[in-house]
Amino acid sequence: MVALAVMGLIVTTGTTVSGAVIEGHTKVAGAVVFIEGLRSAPAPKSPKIDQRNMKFVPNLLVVPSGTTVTFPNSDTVFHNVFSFYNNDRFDLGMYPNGTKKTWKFSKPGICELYCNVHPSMRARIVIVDSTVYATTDKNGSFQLKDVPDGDYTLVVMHDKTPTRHKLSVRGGKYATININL
Amino acid sequence: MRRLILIFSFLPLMAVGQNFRLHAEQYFDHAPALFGDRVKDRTRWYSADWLPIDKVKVVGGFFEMETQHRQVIDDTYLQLGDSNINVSYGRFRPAFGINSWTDLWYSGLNQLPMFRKMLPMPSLHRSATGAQVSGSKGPFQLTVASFDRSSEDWQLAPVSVDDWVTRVQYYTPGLVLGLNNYQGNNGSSVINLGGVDAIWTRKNWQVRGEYFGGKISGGRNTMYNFETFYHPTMLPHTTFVGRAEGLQTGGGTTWGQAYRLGIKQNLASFAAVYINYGFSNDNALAYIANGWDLQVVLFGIGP
Repeated sequence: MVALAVMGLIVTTGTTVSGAVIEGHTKVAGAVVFIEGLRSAPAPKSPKIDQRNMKFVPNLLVVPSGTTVTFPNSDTVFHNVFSFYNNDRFDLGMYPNGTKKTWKFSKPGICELYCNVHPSMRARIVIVDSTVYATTDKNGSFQLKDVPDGDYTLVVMHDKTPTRHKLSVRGGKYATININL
Repeated sequence: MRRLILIFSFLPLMAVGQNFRLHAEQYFDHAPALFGDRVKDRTRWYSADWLPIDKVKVVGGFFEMETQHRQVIDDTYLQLGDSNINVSYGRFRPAFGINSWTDLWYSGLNQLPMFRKMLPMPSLHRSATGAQVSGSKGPFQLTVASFDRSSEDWQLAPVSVDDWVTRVQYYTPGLVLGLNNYQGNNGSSVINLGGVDAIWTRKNWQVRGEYFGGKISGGRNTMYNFETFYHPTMLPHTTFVGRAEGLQTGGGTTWGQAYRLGIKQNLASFAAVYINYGFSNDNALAYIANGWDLQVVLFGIGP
């Protein structure tokens, strides 16, 4: 039995939602938390995943659906970026140092990125139907800012399996949610 | 081995920095006729990058060929600048054709093209010592290198500058074009070579080719190498590879030709296996191994 919990969910003065994600007794780092369908915050202007020192940097990126991500090549060798997963299947081809390519991610889901030349290069883009999202830190903690009052579905994505949790935001209220799967 | 320990003893000091990266790779080969009979060979390659401050990069590398009991310094240089313009000094692989370490060894083709093993140009696949300037403007990149072609395995600085390589690269989405020139005279042999290379990619396909011609030690030489790569959507970590290459040396009229087909399978982030079948005519360089050969590559990148 895998236990996934959103612990200590705190709704502060109606704008910032804080909490932590744990699995069993382990704090889950790198989980993606977002409020489904809420697009109250501005979308990121120019998100990018660099190719540097034979790595994708960062190796996890969260973007709202409809976002165009830039993939510069900062290495001295050729790279390509491809993903054959979900419905967003693309291969950006080989391109040299100092150049970049872009791809628009239209559909929510998880996109695993690879370079066909260098097997060690792997990254993940999580495309969410939201502009209010966060990634948990090493303590499993997250913050969602600028959340208007309302009733929402909070989605936690970790290891590809999304879990959904009800969330009510009322200014100055406090809430705790524990969920076992 | 003492020299090896001395040179790489500084690596732990670098590790305290945030901008330090160490690459370690091992190549296990089971190939026919590489050294006279079916052999099992192992090559270890190590490389470290360190960026102590902005626009300064220190690179150190070496590889060890177990069967030949040989250790060779690989790219080891100091680089100043950024991708717009930079200068490198030390030991590096001169920019002639499709020539970076990963172009040559991550392709899934277990052997280098014949012309890169042809004397007197070993510096085309193995590092030479000297200086290299590279700059880019828009879609163009210009690289000029002057170097000591006769660099010994453990040489870090040029004794004399004999050879010059110039490369102009143009990039447009889907296509990389290169123009190359090699002028050299180290007293014992003169090299005047020129040619083009290209990389074309579209979706699951990549085709790349090199074509060079000119005089080496007075004789006319022509050489080509074409490679094709296809990774199917249904097998994203599998790449089918193929090569056709030819070489006409010393003003002769006969072509040495070799062909190679294979599969590159990325097993995990740290492992890949390359399976090739090669065949050639009688005029191909003796270096070319015919028949099946297998290479397993283990990668490690840290910290």
